[in-house]
Formats: sequence, C-alpha cells, structure tokens
Amino acid sequence: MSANIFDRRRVNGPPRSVEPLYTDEGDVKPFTNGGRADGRSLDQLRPIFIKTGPLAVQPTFSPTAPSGSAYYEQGKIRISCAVYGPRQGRKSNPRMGSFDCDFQYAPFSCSWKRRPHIKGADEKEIALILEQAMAPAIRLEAYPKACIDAFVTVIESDGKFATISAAINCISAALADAGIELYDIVAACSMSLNASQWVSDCNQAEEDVSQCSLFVSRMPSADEITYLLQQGKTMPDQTDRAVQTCSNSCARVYAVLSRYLQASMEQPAS
Amino acid sequence: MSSESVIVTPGRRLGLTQEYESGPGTYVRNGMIYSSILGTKKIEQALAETSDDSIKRPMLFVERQNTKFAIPVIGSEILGRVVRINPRAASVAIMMVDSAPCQEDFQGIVRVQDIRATEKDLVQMINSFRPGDIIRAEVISLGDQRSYFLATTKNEHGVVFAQSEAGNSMIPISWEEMQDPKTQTIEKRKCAKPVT
Amino acid sequence: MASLILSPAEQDFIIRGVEKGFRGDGRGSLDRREVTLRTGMISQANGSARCRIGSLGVGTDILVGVKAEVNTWAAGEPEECGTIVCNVECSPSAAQEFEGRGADEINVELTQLLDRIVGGEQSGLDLRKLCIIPRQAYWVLHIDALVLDVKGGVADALVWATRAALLATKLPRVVVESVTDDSGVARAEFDVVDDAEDQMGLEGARDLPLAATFNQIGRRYVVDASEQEEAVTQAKLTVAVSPKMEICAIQKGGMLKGFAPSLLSEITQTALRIAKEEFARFDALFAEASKHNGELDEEPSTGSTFLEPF
Repeated sequence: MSANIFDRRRVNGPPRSVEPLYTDEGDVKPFTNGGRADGRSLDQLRPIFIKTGPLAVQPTFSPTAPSGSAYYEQGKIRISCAVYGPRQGRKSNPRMGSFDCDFQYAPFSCSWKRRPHIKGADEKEIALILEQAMAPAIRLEAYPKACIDAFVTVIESDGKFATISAAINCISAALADAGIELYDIVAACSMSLNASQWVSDCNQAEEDVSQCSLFVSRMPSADEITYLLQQGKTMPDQTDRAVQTCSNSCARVYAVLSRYLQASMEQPAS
Repeated sequence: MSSESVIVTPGRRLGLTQEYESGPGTYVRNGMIYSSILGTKKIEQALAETSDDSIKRPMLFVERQNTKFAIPVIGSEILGRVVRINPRAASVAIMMVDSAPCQEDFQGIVRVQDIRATEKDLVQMINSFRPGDIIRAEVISLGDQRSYFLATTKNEHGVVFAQSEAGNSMIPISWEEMQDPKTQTIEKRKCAKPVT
Repeated sequence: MASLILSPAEQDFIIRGVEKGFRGDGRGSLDRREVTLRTGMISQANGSARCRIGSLGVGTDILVGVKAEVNTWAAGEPEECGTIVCNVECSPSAAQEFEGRGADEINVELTQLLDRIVGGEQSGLDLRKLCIIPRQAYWVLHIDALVLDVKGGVADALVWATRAALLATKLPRVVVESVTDDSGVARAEFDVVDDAEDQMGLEGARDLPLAATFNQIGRRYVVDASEQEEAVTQAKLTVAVSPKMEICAIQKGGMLKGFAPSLLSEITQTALRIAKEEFARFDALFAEASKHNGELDEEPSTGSTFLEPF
C-alpha cells in the first residue's frame, strides 16, 4: 500500500513503516566444543511426557470417539495418536485382524520446506514403517475379521528419526489405553553418527550434520527388535554397537512408558 | 476371591502355567503367563473341584474398568438392529456382543433358513423381521468378506423390540405374533422368548 | 508384495525344509537365483539396465532408466551439488493387484527404499561432479524403475538394476565459459556438447552399493526368497553394502514378527561375508552385458533388442 494514499473513512496508521529490530541470536551449531547444544550427554535422551486419553469424549463411550488415544512429548517433539477399533475391516481375514496406520505432519510441524496439506511420499512410507513396527506386538489372532486403525498426527517435529521413534512410542501408549491385547509395549529410540561417535536421540540440527541415522524399536519381554532402519554409511562394527546401545536406550524408554501407563490407571478421573 | 491391586502393563510376567491358569487379558508363552492389556492383575481362586481328579489351578487374569470393545465371536450372543430385508436374508447392524458394546456397528446377515429351527422352508421374511427391529441372535460363522452369519433358531433369540406400523412399541403375545397395545393390531414377527 | 496364498501343508513344508537347510529349488540358504543383466536397451535414456533374478518366465524383472536433466539452481538448494530423484512404479503386468491405485503403497515403499540406498551422498556417487555452475545450474539424475514381474526379492533386483544403469550412464560433456556482458559483469555460461561420442560416465559409480534381502523363515533365514518362500516369511531385513564393505542402509520389512538381536547381528555379518561374491558376480555379469551391447551396435538398433527372450 502506498504511503501516499490517504483513506478518509478509516483511522490511518503512520505513513511510514520501519522493519522491527531483530536481535540475531545466530544459529547455535550443534556439537560445538565437543558438547551438545542443550547440554545433554551423548547417550542422554530428551525428557518424555505422556498423557493417555485426552481425545476421549466424556462420557467415555460415544459412537465417534476413539477407543484409545495418547499425547506424547519428547523434548520439542509433540505427537498425538488416536486408535479406533476393533471394528469391521475392509480386508476381512478370517484368521487374524489387520492393523492400519495413518501418519501425517501438521502443516506447521516441520522445519524443512514441504507442501502443506498434501501427503508426501515420506509420510506414506513412515505410515508403513509404523505398521511394520507395531503389528508384531498386537495379538491380531484375537480379532479375526476386525481391523484396528491408528491415526498419528505430528504437531511438532524435531529430528526425522527421533520423530518416527516418538510416533511408535505414542502408538504403543494409545493401543494400551484402548485396551487392545498386546504381546508387549513397543519402545523405540534413535541415534545418529557424528564424527565416529554415536549420539542418542538427536534433534533436527544434530541429524542434519550427521553422516548416518538409525532407529530401533524393541519389545523387551520377547526381546525382539520389531523394526530397524539405518540411513547413511557406517562400518559394520559401528552398526552393531549402535544397535546394542539403542536397544539399551529402548529399555529406558520402556520403563518410562510403563510408569506413565500405570499412573494413568491409578487416577481414572483425570 | 483374593485380589492384589497391582496395575500391570502389557507384556509383564504374571506367573507360571504350572501354578496358574491363564484367564482373559493374558497370554501364554514358553510356560509363562504374560499380561496382554493394561489393567489390574487379579487372581481367582479355584472352586472346590469334586469330580475332577486333577487339582484345578487358580486363574490369573487382568481386569480393566473402562468399557472394552467387543468383536463378534462364533457362539456369542449379539444384539442388533435389522437394517434391510429381502426374501432371502436380513441385514443386521451388530451393536452389542455378549453385553459389551461394539466400537462401530459390525455387519451381520440372518439367512432365511437360519430364522427358525423347524419348518425352515415355510418361513417368510416379511413375517419374521422388519427393518428397525432389534433382535437377539447368535453368531454361527465368521461369514464372508462383508458380514457375519447369524441365526435366531433358539427360543430366546428373535425380535426383542419392534415398532408397529402406527409407531408404537409392540408386546410379544406368542412366538410368532406381536401386538400393538394402543391400536390392538397384531403383526407377525419371530419373537424372542422373554427371559425371566 | 503380490501375495501368494499357500495351504498350511505347503507352508509347513517350506518352513521345515528351510530349518533343515533345504530349499524348494535346491539352493543353499545363502544362494541367489540366476541373474540376467542387460544394459543400454533404451536409446533415449542416458543409462538403462534390465535385471532379472530367477529363470526365464519365473523371475523378478526390473527395468531401470536414468535420465539426466539440467536444473536451474533455486535458493535453498545445495549450492555445489547435483541431485538424484528416484521413482519406482510397479506395472500391472507384474500382478493383477497392481492395477489402478493398487500399487500405490508398494510404489511408495520401494521408492523410499531406493532413495535411501542411492539417493544421496551415501550412494558413493560424487554429487559435486554433477554440479555444472555453482549456484546456477546442476545435473539432476532421474532414476525411474519399472517393475515388470514380481516373483520374490524385488528390493535386491531393484538395487542391482539401478547399479547397472548408473554404471552404464553416460552424461554429455559440458563446456563452461565466462562471458562478460555489456555492463562488464562476468557470468559463467555453460554449453552441453551434443556429441554422442564425447560422453563421460558418473564419478563414483563403482562405489554404489548392492542389496541383499534376508528372509526369516522359522528359525533360520534365507537370501533371495522365491515367491513361495516370501509368502511364509515372518520378517525380512534388507542390507545394502558398498564395495568398500561399508553398510549403507538397513531396513526391516514384514508385519508378523520382529528379530532377535542376536539374529540381527548374525545377518549383518553374513551380509558382509556374501558381499564379496555378490560384487564379483555383478561385475562379471555387467562386463558381459556391456560386451553384448557393443556387439549389437553393429546391427541396426531397433526395438528387437528389447524383445529378445529375456
């Protein structure tokens, strides 16, 4: 709008406008001075918070409410998941039920440029990854001909592999909240390789400068790894070490998940 | 019945199969009983067994307060609403299974030969069910791609609630007739025997 | 994958056979089926390859074409590198369920898998050499794969065919000169030399990885599962290894079960062990394919080379 146009019908603002003053904090480069930007140690995970049942409509049984839901936070990652089911499936298999997962980034959630409102190939692939990571843990033989649907929405993402791991943890919590029979809760954790050192639970800035990223999802009771994904080059012994360390981190995440789920049962009216 | 109020998450070890039976909410692997849902661990003591030689083990199960959604299983009793009828079958929306609600209505079908136990060839759909009736039925098969197969052959199965053409709730007067108390008209249905 | 329905008796037969070390076609648990490789059959593409794993008519057949295009640099893109864009499509001729939108899910899965293995720095390709003028123009390689037949082991065939196509890719030479325009500002301009003889291969293509998929059947695992073995697979792991014995990518597939951690490390060790033989086999096949290609240049090139019994 030209500063010279004077609109007599309205109260005009000042004719000249100036850009606000920004204090440039400067990008904090990850791994400067050998430490991490947020002060964590190399194998320290970001703090986790879980709340189950936030999407349930009071009273708990309503035709359109999800059977179970969970809200998950890990550092700056925020994810919400709703589970519907067991309900009539489209592909009805008389031997076992089916598990379907839908994953989407909220338009404001990612730091990288993406076309909003359009489901990209990466979201579709992550949905497949989540299905393959969670399906071994669900007792699908107990739900013949039925299907269980999980819908994951990422409200804020911080690290691609860390977000996928967080989504797995969130779905586990939502399935437990829905009362669906599981063999075990699946816990997942991610790591990245930076200058020959494995760093646990990296955020986006740290992942961007790493040579390789990896995440592992694990069922501790059966001691089974339900999913493993590595992207980037490593020497074989590095991968072995990473899988070991990551499995141990998964055990810690599992402990946190169990504690939160137990606490949610103890206070039913929250 | 002794109970310990321990909250367990899925995948927790509860006991050995040598010492306990596994009940609902648990599964067995390698001789160990694990919990399969999030709930309270409960032990039900064995009832005194006189005829059986083997000593009955107490049952370990996991209980959950919130409504657990059910899916139709062969042999379970369902409550459903008749959606559509045609001379060969009636489409039913299954709403409850064994007194547990379903998350979403499942689809079932009552074929005309499964409505009655006797004189199956003389059954007419229009005299057995009408759209909008609530029926109690049994699941006899997992059925095909779309529907479960149901049957109302038992005496306690059939129409439990129906509205007459005038719009009033009808009362069953015999196994094949229902009467509208206000207009006194009689309509034909396959009625369920009221359970006392 | 196109799912085959097997009776419980057939499933039991395969599982018990694998546990004792026997496979339906007599292979050992680490043996791959016969591989046939052909390159250069698509004249319009900068590089192409067709790979069939399995015998004639009962194999997984994949056709990969590589096309190079010059892109203008836009702000936000890497300043001194080219890029690689992958796309995998399953043709309905492979399976009836791939008709219409039926192949969407598997297309996405395979595209992301291929992108993970060859779509960036980890592929071994020198992306800096694909830059023509920094902050102005760069080559983008479009790798398009068409799955023509699926009989087990798609991921492996995909990576083999892509490696062959990239090794056979020839980029035209680019001449960069500095041009001073009227206002005295020196700019760089490039010109693509339109000479079929004057072409260069891709730098670093020798470092491209090969993939092997390990399927867990019962308590043992096999390499390169056939269609029947895939129907009985509980879980599978695809490991991509580079010629320098580095692990480039690992991805698990399969919905029914997870892996025990010890089995996982055993599989990665095995992947490295068989990598040497796999690369030797690939190099021999590729050399033969290039020779075969050279012979055909003497005949008038028509579409008949593509229709040869393959």
